[in-house]
Amino acid sequence: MHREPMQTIRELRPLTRATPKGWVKWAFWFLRGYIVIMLAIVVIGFARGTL
Amino acid sequence: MVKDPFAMPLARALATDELIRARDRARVDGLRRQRSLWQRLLLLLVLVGPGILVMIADNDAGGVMTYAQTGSSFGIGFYLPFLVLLGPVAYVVQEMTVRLGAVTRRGHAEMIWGRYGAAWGAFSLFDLVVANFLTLITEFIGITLGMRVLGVPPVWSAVGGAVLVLTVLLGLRYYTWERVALTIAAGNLVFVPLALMAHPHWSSVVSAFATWHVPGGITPVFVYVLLANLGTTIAPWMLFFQQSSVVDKGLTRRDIRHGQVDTAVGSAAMVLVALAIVVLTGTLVYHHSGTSPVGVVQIMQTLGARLGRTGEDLFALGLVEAGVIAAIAITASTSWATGEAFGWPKSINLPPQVAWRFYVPGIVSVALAAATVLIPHAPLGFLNLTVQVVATIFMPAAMLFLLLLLNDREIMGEYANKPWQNVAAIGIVGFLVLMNGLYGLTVVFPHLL
Repeated sequence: MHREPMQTIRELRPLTRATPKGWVKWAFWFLRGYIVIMLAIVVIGFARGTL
Repeated sequence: MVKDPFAMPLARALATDELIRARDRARVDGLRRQRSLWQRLLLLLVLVGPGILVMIADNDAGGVMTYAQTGSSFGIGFYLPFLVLLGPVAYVVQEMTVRLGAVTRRGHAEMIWGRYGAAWGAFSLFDLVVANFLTLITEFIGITLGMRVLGVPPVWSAVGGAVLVLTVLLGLRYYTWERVALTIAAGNLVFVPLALMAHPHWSSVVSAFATWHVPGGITPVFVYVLLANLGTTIAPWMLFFQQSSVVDKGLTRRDIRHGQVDTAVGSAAMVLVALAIVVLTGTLVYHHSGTSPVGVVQIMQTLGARLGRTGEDLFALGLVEAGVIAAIAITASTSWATGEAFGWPKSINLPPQVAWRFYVPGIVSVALAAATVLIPHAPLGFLNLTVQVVATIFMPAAMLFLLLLLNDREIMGEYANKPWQNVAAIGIVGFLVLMNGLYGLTVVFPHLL
């Protein structure tokens, strides 16, 4: 029967930083744009009292 | 010379934490070796928890108010089938956190920080902590509102709520904490008998699924309520909470199947309660209010008039329970995420005297939220709105990180997302962005719809 070895905190390998490539790079740019647009809408909404 | 007076006790506490988890694992392995139906059921009961807890806690005080206002304003025509659809949506999103937590044995904040850098990590942590704090305020609003109906002054209910939440967090180890939280979560089901007490027209309930009728057509209020229902079903804190919970419980790759069952049962319970609230208010309050938003106090008064004192008290009790269970979950989520981001020892198994940094963010947020609702003339409505705004902006970002991590074969290996899971998750992110965009347009151009 397959038995998984007992896992402990000490066995965790350090995380390495991912390098965004291809569609991931575009996803991050989309996220930046989305955040800027949403923040602008929030400012407009609060300023006009329409939010 | 000992430089850090906490270093030795902390090392001992960490060893104890591992020992507790190893003992829990040994129990799970022992049950897994047994083949009888009873032992398999026992194994399931031991392993379930994070999924049910996150889904029931998602039916928080704000959620109960949102569902109640939805039923009161729009009846059962559109939102009943819509809420049923949200069950699979919540499952698809939360199931990913089970796999991510079990495979990496790291929380969501730690993964974003470690994989995508400090800037995105700090952005996510800041958003989460702010959104969690504001959401906690709404939980205490629910607790004080409900307890006021039951005759308890706000000061006592706010202080009592804070003491209860912090006692559960500080005084129990993970497994007991989870079991106590699940027991409190069972109180969420109070809305089911309440819905039955309303004697709904079952033919209308069935026909709602066929017609998807929107009373009054698609208006800014309709879009707002739609977004509020979506926002209350999938929220950023849920991603962080369930993943950290899976990690703190010590679930491994072999437990993923049970974690999926746990999440599915939780989703079903969440939808059942949400449907019960909409059926209740859609049956008893809807025709008395029209399609304009109704306050929760007015809803409780109407329920009292239609169902009697028992009905009003049960609803108030449900509101209090919803606030308490969500406050327990959100407080843990804040502490876990902060601990993960800054690399502090982070486990509910650790005693507060040695892992004090882990507990401080949770303690401070609960104390401030309880105090805020007691401030006379505090802009609670504005705060409630800000919660939604922060969560709305943050959710697609949090979902994007989740999707990136679940497609990262370097860390997920064979547990990475399958194509259908990506299609479903991208569809959910797309719908969120679309609805946020539509709502944003109605904010900038109020007469567009």
